[in-house]
Amino acid sequence: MTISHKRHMEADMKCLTCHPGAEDQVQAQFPTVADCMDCHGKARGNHPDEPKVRAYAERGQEIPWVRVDRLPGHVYFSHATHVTLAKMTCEDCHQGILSATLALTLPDVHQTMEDCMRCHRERKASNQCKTCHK
Amino acid sequence: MPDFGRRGFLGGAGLLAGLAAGCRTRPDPYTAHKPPVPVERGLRMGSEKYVLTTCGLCPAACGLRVRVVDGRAVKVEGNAESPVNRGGLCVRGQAGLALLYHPDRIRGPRRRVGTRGENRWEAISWDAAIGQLAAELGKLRAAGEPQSLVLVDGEYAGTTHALWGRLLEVFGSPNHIGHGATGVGGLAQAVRRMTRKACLPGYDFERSRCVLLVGTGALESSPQFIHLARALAGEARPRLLCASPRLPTAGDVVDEWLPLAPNGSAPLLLGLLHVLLREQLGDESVLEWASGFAPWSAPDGQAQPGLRATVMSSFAPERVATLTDVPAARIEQLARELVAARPSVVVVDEWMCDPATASAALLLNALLGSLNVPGGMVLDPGILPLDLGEADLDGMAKAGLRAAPIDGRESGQRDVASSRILALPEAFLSGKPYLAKALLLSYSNPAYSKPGAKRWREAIAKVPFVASFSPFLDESALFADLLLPDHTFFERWDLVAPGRGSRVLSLRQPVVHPLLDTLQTGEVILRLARALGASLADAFPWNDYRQVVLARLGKSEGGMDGVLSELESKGIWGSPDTGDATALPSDHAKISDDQPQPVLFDVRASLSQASLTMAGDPVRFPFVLVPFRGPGYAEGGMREMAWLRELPLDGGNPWPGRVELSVEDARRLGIVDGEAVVLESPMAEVALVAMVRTGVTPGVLGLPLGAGPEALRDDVPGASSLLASLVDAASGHWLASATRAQVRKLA
Amino acid sequence: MSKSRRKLTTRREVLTLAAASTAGAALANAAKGAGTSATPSAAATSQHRFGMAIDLDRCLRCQACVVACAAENNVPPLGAEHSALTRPIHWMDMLMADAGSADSELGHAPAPIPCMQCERPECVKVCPVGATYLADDGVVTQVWDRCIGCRYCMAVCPYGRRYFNWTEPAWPGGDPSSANPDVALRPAGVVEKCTLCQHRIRAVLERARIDDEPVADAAIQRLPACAATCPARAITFGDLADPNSALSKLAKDPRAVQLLARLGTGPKVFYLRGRR
Repeated sequence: MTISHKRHMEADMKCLTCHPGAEDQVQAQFPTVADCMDCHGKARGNHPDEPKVRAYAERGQEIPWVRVDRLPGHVYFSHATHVTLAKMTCEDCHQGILSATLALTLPDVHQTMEDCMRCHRERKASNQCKTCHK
Repeated sequence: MPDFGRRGFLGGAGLLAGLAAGCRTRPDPYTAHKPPVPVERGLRMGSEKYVLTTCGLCPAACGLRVRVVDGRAVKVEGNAESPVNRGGLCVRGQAGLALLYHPDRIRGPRRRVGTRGENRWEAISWDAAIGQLAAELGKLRAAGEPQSLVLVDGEYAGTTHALWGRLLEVFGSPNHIGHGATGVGGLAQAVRRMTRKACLPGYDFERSRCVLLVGTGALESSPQFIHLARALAGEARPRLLCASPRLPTAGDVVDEWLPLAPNGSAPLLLGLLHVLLREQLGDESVLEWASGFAPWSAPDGQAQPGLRATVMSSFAPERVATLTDVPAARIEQLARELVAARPSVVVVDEWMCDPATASAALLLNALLGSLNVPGGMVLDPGILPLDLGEADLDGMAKAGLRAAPIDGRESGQRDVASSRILALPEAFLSGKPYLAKALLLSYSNPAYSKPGAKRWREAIAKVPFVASFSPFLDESALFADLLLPDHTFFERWDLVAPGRGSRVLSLRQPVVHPLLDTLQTGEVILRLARALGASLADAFPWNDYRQVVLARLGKSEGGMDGVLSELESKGIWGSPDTGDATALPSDHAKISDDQPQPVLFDVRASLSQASLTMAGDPVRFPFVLVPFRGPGYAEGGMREMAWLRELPLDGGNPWPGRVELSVEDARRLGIVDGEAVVLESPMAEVALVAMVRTGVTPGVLGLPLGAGPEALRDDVPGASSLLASLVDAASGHWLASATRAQVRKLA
Repeated sequence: MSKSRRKLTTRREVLTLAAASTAGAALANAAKGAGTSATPSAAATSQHRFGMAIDLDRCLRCQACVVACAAENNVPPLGAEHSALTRPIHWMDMLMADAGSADSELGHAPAPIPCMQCERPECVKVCPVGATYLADDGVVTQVWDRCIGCRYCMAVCPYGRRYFNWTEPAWPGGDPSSANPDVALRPAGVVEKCTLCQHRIRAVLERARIDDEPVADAAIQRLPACAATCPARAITFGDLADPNSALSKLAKDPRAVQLLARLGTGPKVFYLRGRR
């Protein structure tokens, strides 16, 4: 099942509606099928995948989203500090997500450790190892 | 792909491959090698939550707060709202998640294939399993022998125990056997007989000024441990004394250790009682109505001197000194100390306490004025009624219930606390008083944990039909024909009353969606009753387990609104108090300062104690084995919680376990701390590691219960195999320190 | 043979004293957290100085702290084979002191022993790759991925609080479902030790910044896993830079004692004993 971020942005949706943790949690999180059903409880548009939402809900199942943006196990990244304190936008790291028309199969975050450290240096955030390493 | 079903330790093969390629391609440890999470509705990916529940590893029923990340339980903490543990949690609770995710859990109902003990099973559905169980039990009724059903039941928290009781009652079997004979039965019987209350005591440590621990349970793993620890966390702490044959490493918090001869607890307490009576230091009004304090006549016409006369004549400090190795002068002094430091309280080890010691402790606390007062022993049956109402019994059930209980207790003694589990092996093997034809094992693994383990295996093998509800394939389940695995306590819903003086309810709820195809035993009982049909089905009119629990509280779902919402938000519901009861600082119990002390009703049987016959002759076996339940002991579940087997103070090695030896004996035998030794009793011979330490009296060998090899290692016996299965004839209670032994160097 | 009980040996003490006397000048620098040039230097002004107090008059030696720490920090039990070789890792261990020896400053009963979180850590001075450093919050922190397993830090720690990973992380049966995602897994060849639950500290400090609230001492007294679980509340965590914190007061208590204080390592773990 796919999802078009572009379509949802055109519908004036906010990232936080589906990714509620982005502002004050470590993880941005994913929508539950209940979140999707808030809007898609009734048929909207004519995308062939759209009825699948209702099918999952009816079966009492969560949509099995596949997570592609995964940091290595030794890295800590908190959305809360970056979104709320550093006032970054989602596209600053998730490049091109707002114009994506299909669900991601490859990561859209391409920052390397050097990129992170450069920004930290410029914006006077700590570059001590423990800031980002578990 | 690693084989999740295999026992043993599989290294992180995937991680190695990743490392070889460099950090960037290291596989994600959050998903590599982890079985997928059973996704329940509403599980949000990337979310974390804390779930309030109640621990099931011991009867203390501490409140838990479990951190669940992405549907996986990753850490257990104590629930600060619970008056039992107030946010703290013992070593067993911290190791508990190992049970939930253990690779050796039985994955669903199984039927035996091949011969017993072969360990071959086929997966079946729950309907098939319950159907088969109903068919086998139905055969017993069809043959007019419902009493040949025997249930060994090891869990008394929650409502499953009540359901089992009801099932056996309407089925027609008097054989609901608990583990009381090797545990709390002695204490429970003493309390019931003397005070008519059906409860286990709690202790208000926080407000006590002097606490005498008899036995070491409160310092190790009895439910009293968490209560004592909680009291130590406060500013005011009582003077702490411990009378025992050995003192554990926790003993440094004790102000004074009284080295005690094995089996000396009851004489010591009666010696203290003697001093109180002689000097008239105690409050004798509590004994005014007690049958048996003054001289009385037995039913057979025999004149009995009464408790007072017996204590005065037979338990003078000089004589008691010879029975206990505590000097007479110290006994005199201790009695006066307990009186002067009131409120003072005597605390027994509820798991190792024989009826005589329990009775003596109750008497002593009564005379000290320490029953149901702040700082004393609290006897309160709590708020959860024990029965589910009357059930209609058919003729077959009534007839079956009239049969003599198979464990030899008196007919009509239906409370499980009076059951005599240690009589079962001989009953099964001899077929007397009648053949056991079906055995159900719920929360029980007697073939490993009971003394005389080897005999248990032979006995279980002889019963034609055996079913086990254990989540793990243990030594007893190995002989079963049917496995109906229970959820672990992390996956069950229930309401638990910690009891022991407290008047709260503690919520137990699933922290994760059940991982496997297991089913809560309470639900199985309901379905079994329906499958058995007729009067049995009628006696279980509830749709599901939750309904039974609410019915037990006398409430409908709607009537529980306030209770349930408080339970859901805090994990704990405290019974609303009326009148002018004074809450303890910890809300441990609500005791009114003007509440009259319970009167003691019956002290006639208090002194009955079997003449202590020891197993083994003193020449060949010069030591006495003193078993104990160390901090890592968790009702036999220790072996699945691998952290508990590598605790630094316990030697750090899973097996062989250790045997505690005094410094004097070690020097005499030339044994060095950490050395391999052979421990031999009349029952078995086991190679162990010597732990030479202070705090062990000469002539005593400390033996940790529960220690043993990995499950199902038939060639290597556990610690229990060394212990003799001797019982006190009057009560059926196990004589824990009645096994003699010898120890020698292995080399 | 059970050899896994930790002891402070006089031999180690001698080695450390020797190292200390020849590196006296370096000790002064260590206070500033300087390591190799590859290590980011700690901030000159310390905002926090986190430490711990352990009340031995309350401690019941139940070892709940040992297992709580292992569960929180993904230190799996290693099984019979490795235990026999005294390889199990106990970030929080139980210190066994022999009666009558120089090490009995804590009495004769065992004592829980975490990393001492020294103000002048010997391990930091000797690490050739900057895999361990003194962070600006006073925690002796580690970067697992830099560790080359030379174990110099293990040799030089006078308290023996560092452990070597002889094996890859392995849960019984291979199922690490209950691993804590906040703590990295350490591969074989890496040295590890207690981090004062640095990940929990980070979460608390981050929350405080986001909510724009100061960190209350009362909220962090039971922050690390060991302190949180202790049924007798014998372990107290806190900030020595806050003179009003419970820890600061306990550190000044007449009952307070530091292990091997005469070595000059400046341990920030204080033991309290002497009720009797």
